[in-house]
Amino acid sequence: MEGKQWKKIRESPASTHTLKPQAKLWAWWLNASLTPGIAKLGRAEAGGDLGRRPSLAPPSPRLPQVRETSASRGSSLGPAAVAPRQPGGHQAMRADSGLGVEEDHPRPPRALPPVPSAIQDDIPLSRPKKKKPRTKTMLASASSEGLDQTAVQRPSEGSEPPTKDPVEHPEAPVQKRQKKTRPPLEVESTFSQKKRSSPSLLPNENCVNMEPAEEPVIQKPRRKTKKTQPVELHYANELGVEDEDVITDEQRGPEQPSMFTAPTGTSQPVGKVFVEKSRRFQAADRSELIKTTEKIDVSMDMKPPWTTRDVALSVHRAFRMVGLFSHGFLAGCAVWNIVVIYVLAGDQLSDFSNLLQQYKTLAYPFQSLLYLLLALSTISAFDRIDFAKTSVAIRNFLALDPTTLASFLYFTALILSLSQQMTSDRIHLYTPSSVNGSLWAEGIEEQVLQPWIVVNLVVALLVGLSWLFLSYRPGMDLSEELMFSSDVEEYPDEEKGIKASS
Amino acid sequence: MLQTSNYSLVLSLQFLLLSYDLFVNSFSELLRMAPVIQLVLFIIQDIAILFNIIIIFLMFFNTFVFQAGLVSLLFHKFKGTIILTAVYFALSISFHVWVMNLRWKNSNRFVWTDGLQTLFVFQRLAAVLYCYFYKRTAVRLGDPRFYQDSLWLRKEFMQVRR
Repeated sequence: MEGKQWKKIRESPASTHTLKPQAKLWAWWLNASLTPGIAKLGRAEAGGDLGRRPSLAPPSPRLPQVRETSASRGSSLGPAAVAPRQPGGHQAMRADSGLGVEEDHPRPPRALPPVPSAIQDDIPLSRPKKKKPRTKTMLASASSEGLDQTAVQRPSEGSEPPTKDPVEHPEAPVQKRQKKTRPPLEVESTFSQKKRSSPSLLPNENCVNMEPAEEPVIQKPRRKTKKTQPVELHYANELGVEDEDVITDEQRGPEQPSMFTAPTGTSQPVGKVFVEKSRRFQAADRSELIKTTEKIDVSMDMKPPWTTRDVALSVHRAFRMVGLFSHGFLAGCAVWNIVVIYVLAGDQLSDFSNLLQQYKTLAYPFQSLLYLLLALSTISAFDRIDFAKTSVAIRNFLALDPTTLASFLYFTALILSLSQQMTSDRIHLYTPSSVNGSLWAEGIEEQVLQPWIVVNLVVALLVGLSWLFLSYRPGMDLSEELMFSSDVEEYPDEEKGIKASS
Repeated sequence: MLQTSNYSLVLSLQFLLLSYDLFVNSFSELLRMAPVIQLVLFIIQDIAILFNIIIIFLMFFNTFVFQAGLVSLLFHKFKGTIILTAVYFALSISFHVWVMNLRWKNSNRFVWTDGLQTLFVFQRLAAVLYCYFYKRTAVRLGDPRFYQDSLWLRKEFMQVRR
């Protein structure tokens, strides 16, 4: 079985790579085992802590791989050198996993104390390379971690003092190595990974044995956990690791959240709300925010957007007001005009010369004013009946709709008034017949003024009547109703309504 | 879409020009102390009519109906305004030319003939009708339906095609 595993290791690139540092480790360990002075101290500490170890330090999942590689290496070196350490390792493993595997399959010892220089050399080598080299170095480092662990666990055996002493000695170099290696690792690792490593150190500050156990935690940051774990499992399968040796994450389940994840607590509602203003989130009080939003809603409700339609409607209504004023003013002016004419003409229209003399200054201004007022009134009346829709206007006219009649009367008055423009100008340029170049010859006055007075009378009557007609229904405005509604469809309904009302 | 402020501005300009037209038509006969005054008033009046024609056509071009290519629909809807404005513009120029030609040497001369009187009546009547139709069109062009696609527009289009 071991032969097969060795073959697999040799085939796999990871295993070949791990051999290089471990060869150095072996050499270093052989030297270190000969120095007994420091080992005594180490043994005492390691032996005392051994019982607690499994519960405190979660073993890394990389251990099996390490064990396999070290085992294979151990077999190649020969059992004599490694045999005394084997039982200690087994004990530790039993304590970790609770499964004694070595009784059935006694394996050659594989624990080797790591040489600080070996790993330090190894890290820069692996850095420039990408995924695969990294995993290789991981294996290498993991193996060294495994070796550390086994080295720590060995003294628990307590049976063979000469071998135990050298075992303890590597403890000091390991710690030194960690101190040395950490800075580059931290530089490489992310912030979150640093976070993870720091809490793990805190509870174990007084425990020396915990240091190697934390090794995987510190070394882990070199890769992203999501990517590496499947790779490791893959290698583990490749190396033929037995299930018992594989320590899954389940075992360290209770401890992991505190070490690897951010503290999760139930979120508490805060009084402030963060609102994004000009690409920055700014804190704002909840109550104020609610108030402002309510204000906005209210203002939106109060002031609907002012559309072009509203502008047009307001202009139209404004003009209707002007028209309403002009209707009355025109009617009054026309009546006043005809009264003035009849007063000036005297009884039975006998005093035309007096009329001409008195009225000549008034004639043209009044003609102009009459035109202006008539124009405004006619436009306003046309607006009311929506004159542009000729068919509607004609129908309404035939139906003797007062507003339509009024607009018709206005238009007639306008024509009549305009037709008197020449006479008005003649009155305006009045000079007595005795003056040279006079427009008013003897006897022509009555001939010209008679129809002019009649026309003015008719205009006054028409304007007065129109005003009366319009005042009958002053609110009527077909243009407003039809223009801004869907005039095609609603038009018949409107007419029905008008007919019904009339 | 037509902006409200823009529309208000255009509408006020149109109404200003219309008011000036109405004012000149009403009181030009009074303001004839010197022939130049009347000439200037008439020239400005004709330019105002021309400006109004340009503005109303620009408003037509701005409508969705026109931009969609439904020029015939637009013409059908406002043909009264277009024709009347053109007629009024022609009548105004001819009347102004005639009157100024007669009054240029002596502004207080009695120049009226039957022909001039007839032209005068038609020009002034056309002025009132122009004023009414133009105002109506300007106000109607404020309707948002002219600036967006709608069922109403499609129905109008179908009606014109028939």
